[in-house]
Amino acid sequence: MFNIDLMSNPTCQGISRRHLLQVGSLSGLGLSLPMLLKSQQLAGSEGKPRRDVNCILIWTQGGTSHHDTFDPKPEAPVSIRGEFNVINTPTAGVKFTEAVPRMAREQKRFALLRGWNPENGSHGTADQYVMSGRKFNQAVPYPCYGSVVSYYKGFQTAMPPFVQLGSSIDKRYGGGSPGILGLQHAAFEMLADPNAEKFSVRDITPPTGITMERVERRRAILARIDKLQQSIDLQPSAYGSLDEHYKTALNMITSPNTKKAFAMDEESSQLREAYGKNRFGQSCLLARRLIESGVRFVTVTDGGWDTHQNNFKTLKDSRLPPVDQALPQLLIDLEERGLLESTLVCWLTDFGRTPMVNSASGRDHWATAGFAIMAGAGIPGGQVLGATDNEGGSVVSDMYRSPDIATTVYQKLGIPSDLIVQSPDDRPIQLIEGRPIKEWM
Amino acid sequence: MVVFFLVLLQLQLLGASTSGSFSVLPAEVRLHGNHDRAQIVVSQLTADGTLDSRSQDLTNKAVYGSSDSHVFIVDPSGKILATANGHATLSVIYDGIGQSIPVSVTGIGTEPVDFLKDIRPIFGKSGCASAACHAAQHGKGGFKLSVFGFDPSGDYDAITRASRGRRLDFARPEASLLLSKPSMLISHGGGKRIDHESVEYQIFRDWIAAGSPRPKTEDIRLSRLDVFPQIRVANEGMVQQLRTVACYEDGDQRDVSALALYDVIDTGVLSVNSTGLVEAIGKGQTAVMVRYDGQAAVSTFVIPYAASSQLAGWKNNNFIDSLAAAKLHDLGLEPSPVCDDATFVRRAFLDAIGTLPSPETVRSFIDSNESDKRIRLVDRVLGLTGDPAMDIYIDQYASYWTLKWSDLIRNSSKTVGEQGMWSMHNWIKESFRVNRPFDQFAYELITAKGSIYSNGPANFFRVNADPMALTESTSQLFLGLRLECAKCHHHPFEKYSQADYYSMAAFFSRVGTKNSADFGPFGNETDVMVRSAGDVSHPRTGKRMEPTPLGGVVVDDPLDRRIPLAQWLTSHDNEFFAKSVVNRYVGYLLGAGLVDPVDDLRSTNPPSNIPLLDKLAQDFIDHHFDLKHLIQTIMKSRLYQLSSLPTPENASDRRFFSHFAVKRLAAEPLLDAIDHATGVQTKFSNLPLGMRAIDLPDAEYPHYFLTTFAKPRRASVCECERSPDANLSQALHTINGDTVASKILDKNGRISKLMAAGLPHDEIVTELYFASLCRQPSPEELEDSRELLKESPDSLECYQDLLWALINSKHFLFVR
Repeated sequence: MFNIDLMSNPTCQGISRRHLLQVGSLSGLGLSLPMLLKSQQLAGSEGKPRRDVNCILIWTQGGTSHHDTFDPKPEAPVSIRGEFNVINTPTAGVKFTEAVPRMAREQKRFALLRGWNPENGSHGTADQYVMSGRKFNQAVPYPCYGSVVSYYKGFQTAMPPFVQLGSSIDKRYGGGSPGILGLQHAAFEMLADPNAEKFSVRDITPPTGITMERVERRRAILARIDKLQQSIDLQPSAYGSLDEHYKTALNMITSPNTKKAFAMDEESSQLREAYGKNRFGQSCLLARRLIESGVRFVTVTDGGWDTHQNNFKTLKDSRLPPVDQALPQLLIDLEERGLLESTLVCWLTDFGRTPMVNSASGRDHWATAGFAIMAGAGIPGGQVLGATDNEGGSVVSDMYRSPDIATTVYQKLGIPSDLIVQSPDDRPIQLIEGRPIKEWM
Repeated sequence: MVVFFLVLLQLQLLGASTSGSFSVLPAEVRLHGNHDRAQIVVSQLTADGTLDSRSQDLTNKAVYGSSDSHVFIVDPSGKILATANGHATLSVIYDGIGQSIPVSVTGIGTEPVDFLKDIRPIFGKSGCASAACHAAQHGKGGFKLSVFGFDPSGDYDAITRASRGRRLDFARPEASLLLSKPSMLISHGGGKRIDHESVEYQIFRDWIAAGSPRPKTEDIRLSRLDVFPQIRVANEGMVQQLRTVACYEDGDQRDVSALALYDVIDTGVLSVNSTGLVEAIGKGQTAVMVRYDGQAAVSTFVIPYAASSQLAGWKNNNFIDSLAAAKLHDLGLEPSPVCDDATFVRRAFLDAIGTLPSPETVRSFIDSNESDKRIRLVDRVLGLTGDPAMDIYIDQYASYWTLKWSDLIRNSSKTVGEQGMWSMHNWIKESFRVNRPFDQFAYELITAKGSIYSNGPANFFRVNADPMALTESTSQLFLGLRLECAKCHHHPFEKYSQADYYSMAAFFSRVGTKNSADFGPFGNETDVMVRSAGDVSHPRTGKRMEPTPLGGVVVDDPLDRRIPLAQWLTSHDNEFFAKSVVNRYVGYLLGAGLVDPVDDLRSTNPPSNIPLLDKLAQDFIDHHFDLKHLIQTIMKSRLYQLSSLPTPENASDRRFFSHFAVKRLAAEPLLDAIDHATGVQTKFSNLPLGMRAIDLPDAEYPHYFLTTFAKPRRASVCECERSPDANLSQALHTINGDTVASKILDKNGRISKLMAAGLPHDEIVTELYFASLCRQPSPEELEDSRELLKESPDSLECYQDLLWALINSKHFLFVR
């Protein structure tokens, strides 16, 4: 296949880098290390500093209410205000609801965007739009952040570059998917519960009844069998990438590093308690371990946020407490380990929820206001950006859209905002089309 | 005997001047208007004074002179530039012999700079109007052009009016941003695109100085591009200057060599620069794509791997072999020998029916002494023997090809519901079971109407819900043309415009659906129906489009417009229909299409072997679009039966079938093969046990193995949806996943049964080899397995580990 754009515009911005990447992705593995270094040099030579920044994205599927968390309207009538009282944060004048007490206490650790306009009120398209920064397009399935990171940066260690914890993503419209970048850049999905007593990860931990010793023996047998299937190396283009993947896979399975990444019991019970002994809390802790072991992008998913009924009870009793406990703990833990500067942490959700509380004591989908949270990687902690009107219905200042959030994420991660990739049918596709949130850069 | 492929060129027809040992093209140069240019091409003649595809290019070796540099100037590479009106002579000297070429120049000072003829091509050539630069969705730097200039009046306004007209300065043209930016006199994000001493710069300046006149007409119509040479055979290191002439519908011609865009299809073989100078940097065959103003043409280059090939021991089984051998000979490629019987039987079964042969079938095939046993095997696998006792694979055949075409037609319960999906599935499967002629298949699909629950093909109009989607799907499925580009702008690599696209869409403008709560036996049915009115209009001009097939004339039908479309599509004269089908099947069976990707038959993506594609298509038409005939013709050829082991000399070939191209098993046949090897059948939810992965009717199966191995979601008609690339999750899952592990450990599986039967070690191992790799283990492999037995804690673990390794070995994961 050929690349028309490349040939016609050898000096247009971003092209040389992309070309480099295409060559890299031909190996089926994303970038090899020397190429990665080269691309970083290239990026560096364009005057932008390059730390390798990784990302943990928290995705609360269903649409987390902005009224009942970070953008309360205490002055509004109760039909809008809802059931929660407000509490102060360390920043004068900034109030959260009582349902997120720890987030309120640790408000200085993260930045809050109250000016997010989701421009969409449907599930499915939300997962697709918010996590890619590009509106759903039948003809061009845009990749999500993690896939772009996998495509652009490739492997760092034996660990896959993009990991998703849990399955709370609506994929009907390609949410959380690699789209045009192809399956090799899909998230490595871990569905097992890290809070479970016997936590083991599909395909990475050997199946029941197979010891590590036996895996090693099998590896040796396979090597012998392949060797006896003489001359298979003669079609290297066909067999080569498979070999690479097998090698990586076997390394992953047998590497102590992999085992270590999932060895949740290595963490002190004190820290495990601090994150919260529940699935979400332990997923956040696992996310940190994964980043430490070489994963570049971790999505922590959590479901059950579509609170059409019993909004207040659901939020206060079940949905919010784990996040309120784990997210600040994650930021503290990252900081103590010196990882916060090189780890971007985001909390994103489908959209906001209706100002008016409905008859089932719920809130419905709301397409013109919501919140987004970011921390680490140089994001100014404590900043509250943007505001909504008296009812929390629409943004009245510092409005940013999902493409802007995407551009911010990409810039923080060192991915050029003029990145163009080739779709499978050879069209040049510009991935990113927003403006960065300049207050946070 | 192999016929050497030569193209003799009619010198007179070309309009070349010849004298002595070389020819000059053109024999006469006519330039019109300021800055008009022409490219001279000088070629070596053969001993008998003709020009052929091996004729050497002398353009950069000849010496040029102008008799009057006031009229025109010429540079050492044979490029002529008009400077004043008048007549003069170009002298061309090579090897001491001279030729005189008359040059006339008119129109200077009187012919105004034209936006369409002069300005727009510069935006194209300099890359300004490409998607990476100013033709991006929102432009670049506030300046937005249309992709490849398909919207001249919009571009004109963007240049002259947008940003309050600040891009042009009529008083001081040089100060215009249109000049100072691309020439980098002031900073430009896209870098330097135009040199301030270039002709392009002067054309821009003259146009601004003349008050930037509007495009005179909406569009000028080119009928074609002529590129010289059309084909060139040469060795590595060859240099060839191209010459490009635009032919207009009004008969006018213009040398646009300097304005055309040149791109190499396979950049490992050739390189080309912006002036159309081609250099051979590798071996093989590829083309230079030449584009100018919405038209595209190619110039093909053949760079042989070796001076010649002997094709030792080659015997033609059928026409495929003679035509393929001619190509191999032209390219100096020595083919690999024919594969052994065990390899062939596995290959034939997997390729024709997506199913592994039973150990008994393999044994009896290998042991057979019949001289024509491979032909018999192909007939048996395809169900062509006529003997019901032998034709036992018709079900598998139907399932496997139903799977392929269901992917392409995109049958999915997500779009058409459970009942619609089954109804479509049953129709497709029935078509393959009875081997319905493919023209009928296409005709029925495209003209289907009625209930989507009882008439399967009608679901096509639910899967593709509007005229645009129908146009794109139909074109890609049955013509191999990717038309979707032309929905929004002129096709970048084709002659097709938005008008062509929407004229095709007009065929589908009257299809509608109607829902009825109480209609039909199931209730709540959707009915596909044809309305008496309904049109599509051109999105830019608003003009109502007449139904017109691609490259054809307006055809309409008062009852159902789809009928003339289906007739045109499946007619014997429609070259694309048969070609697109045979090319797909060549791709499926031989690992690469003659045109590759297999569903991209655009004119600028020429076949690797034109006579072979033509003959296969003709043979397919002559046999009434019989798919089984097509498959057996390919499978019985020697070409299909070559070993996948390349020779050192042909290892780098991937286009000419000098050795069999290995392919990975796709998700469904792979899962079935694992079931077969382990003796444990997968049970799919909501479907009866016994249904295999290739039998699955729907795209929507939540099955980890199939999803990981890229079973398509059927979201796109592109063959590319089934990604052939291996990935890490797949490797992890076969190595370490529960799918393979649990089947190997299964107490009712193959290993348990073999052990329960009390067979000796060598026989168990042999059985495992036959069940997985379809062959006898070699003596070394048997010896190795005995050692393994000694090293293992017990025999059960030994066989489990051995079968695990066999399933993870390349001989299992690939068709080879």
